[in-house]
Amino acid sequence: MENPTPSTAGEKRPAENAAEETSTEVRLPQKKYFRQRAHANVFSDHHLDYPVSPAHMDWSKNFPAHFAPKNGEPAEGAVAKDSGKKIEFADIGCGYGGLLVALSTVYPDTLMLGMEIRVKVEEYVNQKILALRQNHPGSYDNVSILRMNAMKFLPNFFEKHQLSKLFFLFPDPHFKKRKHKARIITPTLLSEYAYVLRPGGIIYTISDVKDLHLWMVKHLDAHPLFVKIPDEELLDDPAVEHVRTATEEGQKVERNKGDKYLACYRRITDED
Amino acid sequence: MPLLPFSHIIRHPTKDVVVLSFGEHLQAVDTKSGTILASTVALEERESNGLQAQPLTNTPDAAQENKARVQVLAFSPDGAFLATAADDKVMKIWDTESWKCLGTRTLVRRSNALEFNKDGSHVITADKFGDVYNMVRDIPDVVAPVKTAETSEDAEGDEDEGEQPILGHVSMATDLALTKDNKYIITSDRDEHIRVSQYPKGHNIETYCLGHTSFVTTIKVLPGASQKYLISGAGDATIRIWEILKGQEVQTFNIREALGMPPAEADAEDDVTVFSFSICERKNHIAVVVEKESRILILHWDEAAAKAELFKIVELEGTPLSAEYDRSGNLWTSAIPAEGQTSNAVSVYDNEYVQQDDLAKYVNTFGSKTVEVIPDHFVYTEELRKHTTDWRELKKAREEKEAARLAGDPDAPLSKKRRKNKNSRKIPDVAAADSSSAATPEQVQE
Repeated sequence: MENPTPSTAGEKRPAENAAEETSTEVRLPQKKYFRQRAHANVFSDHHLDYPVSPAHMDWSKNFPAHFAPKNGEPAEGAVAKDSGKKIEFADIGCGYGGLLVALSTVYPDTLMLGMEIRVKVEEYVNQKILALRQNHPGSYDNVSILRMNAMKFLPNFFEKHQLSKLFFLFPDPHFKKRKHKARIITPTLLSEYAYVLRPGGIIYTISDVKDLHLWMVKHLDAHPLFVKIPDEELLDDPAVEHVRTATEEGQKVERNKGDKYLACYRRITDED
Repeated sequence: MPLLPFSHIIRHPTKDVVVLSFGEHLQAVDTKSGTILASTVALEERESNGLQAQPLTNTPDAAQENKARVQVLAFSPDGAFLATAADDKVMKIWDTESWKCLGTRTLVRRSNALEFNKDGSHVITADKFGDVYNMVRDIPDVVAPVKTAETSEDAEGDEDEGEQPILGHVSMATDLALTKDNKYIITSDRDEHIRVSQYPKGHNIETYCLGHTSFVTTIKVLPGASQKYLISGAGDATIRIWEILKGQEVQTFNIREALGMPPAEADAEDDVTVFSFSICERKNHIAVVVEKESRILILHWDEAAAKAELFKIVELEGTPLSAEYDRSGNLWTSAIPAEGQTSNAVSVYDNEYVQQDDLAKYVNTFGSKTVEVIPDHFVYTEELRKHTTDWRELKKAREEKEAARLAGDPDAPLSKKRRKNKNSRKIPDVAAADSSSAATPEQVQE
């Protein structure tokens, strides 16, 4: 593959990178260039791209190894025909992508997607995934990220009962009472999560903020479509360990010797 | 001095009566004779043009003292009750025999849509926050405001008290409809969603009807034996028909084409917006009021073919605000007169869509009240539009484009600023450029 000149589109590239391209390792992006404030207003009208409906979504840009481009033109690196797989895991507010990267090799045959509303953070994860795919050919094809407001637009991306796992790791606590409605777990939003999650599917929540954990537990307990998974059952779940430790936020909590409160719920039905 | 225009017209389900709202007031009109039966404001002394001065069956209602504009109205299916809600969050239930207000209730938030369930026992409201409440209709005469966590901010642990919504959208709810058997409730929002949920167990979402590309303004279940179809209007210049339980679009009706308008400009933010529908079951006609458009579209609905076709265009004088068929199939319309014109506030069209001035003469002579200035009637649709010219949005748009380009998306447009300051970027390019490098050279040539 021809190496274009470093002045392409104004990118500053140290000279070593030109040589690195022919070597096996691509340098992973560095987080320090992708820091962004933790809070984003989920209710405002961000400039987000979202499809009119799940059938309209072209996943070939995110998962070129599994989806053919919708407009029929063969794209570089994309397969010619859909593999038939659908995304099953979604990490809402995936941050710097720690969980996804960890789960990608634990469940290599499952497609998983992270959603992140912050621009720079999503950029970082995207670059990281592309680098990982290059460094480990054949791996990490099943993971990707999307810049998206999951609170508003989940039904635009996922069909009814499509997902088998939904992750909410260390969500924004929105401490003030008037901000509680912006929390990612609310009674009304839980119905939307139940729509995209199949019966038997699991919601994973973890937080270091006890108040938020209690709030999430309260609302999940109260919702007719979710039932708590007892701790003994969780021991068999390979995803749980990564939920606790794989994310940057989780590692930060460990460094600061904080507590982590985990709560997982199964989606059930109450239709007669 | 102008007359306050009639913002809404709604027909009584079992009697030959329509109720018109104007500002904070209501008037009930007999559709056979055109006489005003009841009014919440005393009829003004006016030039009667030879018409008999109108005696009223009731006196003005003291509960209408505040200036809150009536936004939504709904009759119970048996016609016994009328529910109205205004923009001060107060909902009122009226008795439709005596036209007296039976009770009031302060809603959690302003209602954008109000409907009764089929036995009239509950009133459902979809509010501006996106929440839908299923409230028992019985209201004592004096009611304390409904308390929930949002209304009592200082009280701790209050979140358990108060009415809970049966379902909620994350953005503003714009309309709601129930299937005739009340098994399903359909709600629409500002983010183009139409959601079909079970009723009253609103937490069970059946499906979504996705297809509109702009805020959905109004939805109605279409009449017919099958009860399968929904009609929706939005700010994207289309009317769509859906098979409700499948969430499938069966038809897109292009309003611009029907009105002979050219296609919208590519980056136009706002487009032709549907205001309301009125359905005449007997004729299977749907009257469509389009925002700030003097022509009303009459569509004919063919259930067997699952298709709505343009039947006729009725041109009004002035800007229509509402249109409603009465039980005889006459179409009552209300409009804001054009600048400098003195056209009638209400025009009635018979079954052949020929204007009949007789029926409207009483309400045009004695109805409504004079005001200094006609208020803006389009404030609420304006609220639905996404304002993307905010500086924050522009900044985000720039960030978006940059992020897309960095991520290696070959379709991302290059911002003009980038071309000038090629070397001032802070983020070092690493892995992304490798996979997208084949695509980027073309962009720089632009």
